Amino acid sequence: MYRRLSLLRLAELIARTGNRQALQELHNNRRVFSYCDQHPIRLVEFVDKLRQSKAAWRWCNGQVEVLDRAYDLTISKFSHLPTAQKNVGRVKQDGPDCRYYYAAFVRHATAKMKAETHKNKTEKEIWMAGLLQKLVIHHFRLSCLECSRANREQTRRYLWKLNGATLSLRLPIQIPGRQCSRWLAEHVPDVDPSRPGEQERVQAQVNRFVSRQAVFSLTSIDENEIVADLPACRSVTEQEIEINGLSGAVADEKADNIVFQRPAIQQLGKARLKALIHEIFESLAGGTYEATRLADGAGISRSTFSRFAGSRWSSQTEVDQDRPVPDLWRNTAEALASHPALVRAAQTAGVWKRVEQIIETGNATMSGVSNE
Amino acid sequence: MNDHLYFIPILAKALQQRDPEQSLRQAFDRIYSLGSQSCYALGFEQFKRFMATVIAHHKSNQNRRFVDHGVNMLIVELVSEMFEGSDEERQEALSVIQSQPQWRKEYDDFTTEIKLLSERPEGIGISIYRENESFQSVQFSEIPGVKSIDGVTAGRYRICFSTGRLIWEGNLSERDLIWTLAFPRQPLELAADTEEREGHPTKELSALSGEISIRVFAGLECGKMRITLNASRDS
Repeated sequence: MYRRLSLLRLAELIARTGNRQALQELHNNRRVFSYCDQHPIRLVEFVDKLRQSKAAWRWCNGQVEVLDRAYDLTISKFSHLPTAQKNVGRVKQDGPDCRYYYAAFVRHATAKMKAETHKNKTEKEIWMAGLLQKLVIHHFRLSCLECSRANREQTRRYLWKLNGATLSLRLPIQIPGRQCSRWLAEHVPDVDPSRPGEQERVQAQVNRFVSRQAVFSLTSIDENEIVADLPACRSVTEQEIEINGLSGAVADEKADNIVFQRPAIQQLGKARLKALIHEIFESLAGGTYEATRLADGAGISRSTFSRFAGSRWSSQTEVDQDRPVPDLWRNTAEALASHPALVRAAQTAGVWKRVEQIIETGNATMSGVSNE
Repeated sequence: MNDHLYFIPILAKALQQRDPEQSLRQAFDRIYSLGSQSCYALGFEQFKRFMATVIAHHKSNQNRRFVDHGVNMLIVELVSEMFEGSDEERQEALSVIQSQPQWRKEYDDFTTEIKLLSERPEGIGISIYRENESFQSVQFSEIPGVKSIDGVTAGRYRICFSTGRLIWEGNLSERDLIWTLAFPRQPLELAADTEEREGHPTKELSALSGEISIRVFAGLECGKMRITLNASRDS
């Protein structure tokens, strides 16, 4: 009986009653989709074509494992019916519930149909197929967004410096930052950064390893030891600070964005600016920071230096006005805002909450806050 | 150590340690501890403003990611015509997208992509299967329309839309398809083996409330099928 039912009726049966035979009919017998104007294909075949499309490649930033996850998720959205269980309470579902997706299709198609009164049943059947195709593309795109975001949370960018060149890769967050280079050297042999397409090749090797690890995780004990090591998520800033130190990371950032600096600082040029920043940080660490000497050494006025890296911008009295945080310290703070370990440490140490309270109350002092 | 910026080298040093998170927690303790001394009071005030900048920037980053994700979702809804808001809300959403070059570009790119991926053949396809094997397919470019299928021999037939929905299924016997068996003692009509005029159908079927009619005609050695899509409207 299901074979004679219209596409809309099948979708209604799935949406309203979770009818498995209707779902089976739709997946097994209905060739509702067409890719690039070619012969009709089924839903699974169409989503596979989408996965291989140039558009999907863009949607997932060329990350094959994200594409594969988006493919699986989309298929689940249109095929997974939750197992009927009584009194399950708030047990987490084991995947999407396709009834919601077919209900959305029914709702959307019914609303659109109001403007299509001139169509007969035959025309409507074909027109509905086009609507479902669009809905599947829509959900595949959303799956790509969803999986890309999840991937960003599970991986981090790593700049692999090799033979004077740099490859920008995404590695699983579980690999400790200090071990990334060694891990890559062990798992991706014969790397030549000068070879065209090398970055993509290395990334593909990493992805293959990660996928394989997900499948054989129980047998791959040695590799899992690495995975169990450090669960911390590390950002580019975190890595740069780890490699070049805080001064190095901030100096690089300032030099790269020198056009946004004050004119007097721009006049220093990238190299002198970096040198000045290193000197400021070193003098702070060595206890030799002296604004006048540093300003004179760099050939900038004391007021310019004060605005750039001055040591005094807050007032201790209510009479004096607070001045803006100097550029270098503001940029340092901004760099640290992208450093997950610092954020976590500030949160667990209670610093975050206390400063937030001050921001909320507008109170510039921290009186009454004890050092716990 | 510079009293006013005493927290900078403490943080910088902690960030270089093997376990930066643990070291930073200790660093914060030290900054607080020194901050309670009068000589570091101003430095401690500055540390709080420094941390306020960290927090503000962190929140701004989070907001930006959240907004980007939300706008991307909105673009998908709008372009794939799944947006369920009012016309006014739609216009508002479009003006938000137009406000940023990267959102505008994403909107344009996705519009081009979805147009390409949504392309489908024009018209209505009908497939005929004989004994579960594909027999023939016809494409109607307009309604009303008629298509003939020749070479029909006895067997089990299934007629479906190209989308797979079943229109008719049944057996066609030699008595439906062979003239001498369908009309014994009657001379073979011209229409049975030419296309000049229509003969009498041996079988006449109707589907979808008369929107589709299937007529079967007998011939000398095999029969033919004539499928008509009628223009009747769905009530």
